[in-house]
Amino acid sequence: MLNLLRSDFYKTSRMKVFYVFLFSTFLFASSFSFFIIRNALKNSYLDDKVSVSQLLLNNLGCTMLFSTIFTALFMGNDFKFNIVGSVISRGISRSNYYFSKLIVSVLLYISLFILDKLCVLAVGSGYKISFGDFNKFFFLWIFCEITCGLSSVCFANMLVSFFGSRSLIFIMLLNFGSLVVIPIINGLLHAVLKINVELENFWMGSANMFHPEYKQSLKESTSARDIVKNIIWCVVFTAIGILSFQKRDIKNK
Amino acid sequence: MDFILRTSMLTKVYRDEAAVSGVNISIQKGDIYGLIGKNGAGKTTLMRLILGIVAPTEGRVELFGGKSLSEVGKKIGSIIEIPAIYPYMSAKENLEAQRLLLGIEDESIVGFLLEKVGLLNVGKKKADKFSLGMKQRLSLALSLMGSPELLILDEPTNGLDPSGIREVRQLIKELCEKDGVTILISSHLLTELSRLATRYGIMNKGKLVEEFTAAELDERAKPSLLIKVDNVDKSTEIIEKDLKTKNFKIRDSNTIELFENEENPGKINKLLSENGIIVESIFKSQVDLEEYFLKVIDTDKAEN
Repeated sequence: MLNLLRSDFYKTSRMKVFYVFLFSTFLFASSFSFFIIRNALKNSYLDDKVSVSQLLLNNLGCTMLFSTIFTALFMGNDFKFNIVGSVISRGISRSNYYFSKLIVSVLLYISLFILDKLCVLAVGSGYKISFGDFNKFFFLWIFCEITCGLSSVCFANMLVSFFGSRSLIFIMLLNFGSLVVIPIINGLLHAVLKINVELENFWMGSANMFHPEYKQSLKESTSARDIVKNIIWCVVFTAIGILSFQKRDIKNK
Repeated sequence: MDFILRTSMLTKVYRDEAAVSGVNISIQKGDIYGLIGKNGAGKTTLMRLILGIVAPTEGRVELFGGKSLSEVGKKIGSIIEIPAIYPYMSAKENLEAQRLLLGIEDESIVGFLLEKVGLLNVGKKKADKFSLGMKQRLSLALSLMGSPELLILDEPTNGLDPSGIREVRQLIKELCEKDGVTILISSHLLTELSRLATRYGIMNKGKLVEEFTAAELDERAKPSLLIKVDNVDKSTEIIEKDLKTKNFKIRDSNTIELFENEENPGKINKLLSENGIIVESIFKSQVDLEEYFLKVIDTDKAEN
């Protein structure tokens, strides 16, 4: 597993897109933060104080987008260039192969995240910053959000690699689940059974990052719930991803 | 350990069609096993089954005396169909990634392998700028990483020019003779294969229809005389009586294949003519691997 990781990190370091995303993250994080903070302070809706947790959450979507593209390329390349077969034929287990891709993707995200936040904090350091709104689960919450998000990306890539464009329909359904299907089910449950339930609380996390609650301050109970939820979804995606990979024949492209 | 690779009733069915059907193959240490077959005969699928790239529908693969791929995978190098290389990396970088994957500490192995396949001077050129032959050489270098004891090569000379084919042949021979590497190789270049292989297996429609050694091929490929005459029955009587031999076969209604006196076609011609037989043609025939392969395939087709 360690050798596989070393090889995957080496491959990452040889991908131009890795450096493009590092530079883009630096550029976006610095410029966006500068304008957002300046604008927010000018319009006085931050009470002359910038919250560190808000700064940390800021731009999370951008790094997620970069990581998603990177993971898609990183995993897709192996299928496209028939590398998977040559790795598997060297006796490396498919589950290790899958885990290695997931670990590299998560670590790449974390690197982009750290770079992004360093830039944001550097820009924000010129202003009054509030540290009062952290809760003890904050960083674990972010880590679980990232890992869960990327486990779904790895899973989706595995599906696309095996089933091609057909699986995009399934992935789109998965993505739209929280936006379209869940509100409809919520509404139906309320209308028919008079039950007030928010199914989005049980759905994988990334969509919730844009919930107003997170824009203010993150409650411990909400963080704890999301951590558990994201761990469960991460295990589900990874287990299905590995199982489907174990049973499939690897075809040459 | 008496075998390096053994398959038992190995079968792969796609939908309702068997790509590989009940193949039993056994390769001993030091063999160069040539796998021959038409396109779609199941050679590549068999190799992919052995390498765990596809899962068998039935049967099993045993390696290095009964071990599984996960135990001995690092001892196996392979090239299956298309070279498995990253086009955005140089030859050196591709090999470096493979070195790290296999946990080889000795960094000099990269240069050694580049030299071995003649790619030492390509520098930082990315693999997508390589010719097919260069890609094939790189692929061969990748398969040699980790000093494998078993090499599985599917069309390794694909895309190579005549000098490249010769170099690869010499390299394979050297690996087998000097390093004791066992090789399973498939190729459509049967003349090339016949210069290498010590054993052969012919596949047709997913089945292993015949296995033979190089010595057995030599025996079967003995030269003969193909005699076309107007009267086969009378001709065979004369041959039996005057040449005192039954070492011939009647090929069709007017052709006899004689396995003796192949150096004396004039003598046979004279003998038959003196006995009133019209000899339409007489020529010396020697079956090579290609002809033998076609013969086996034709026989298999006729039987099915």
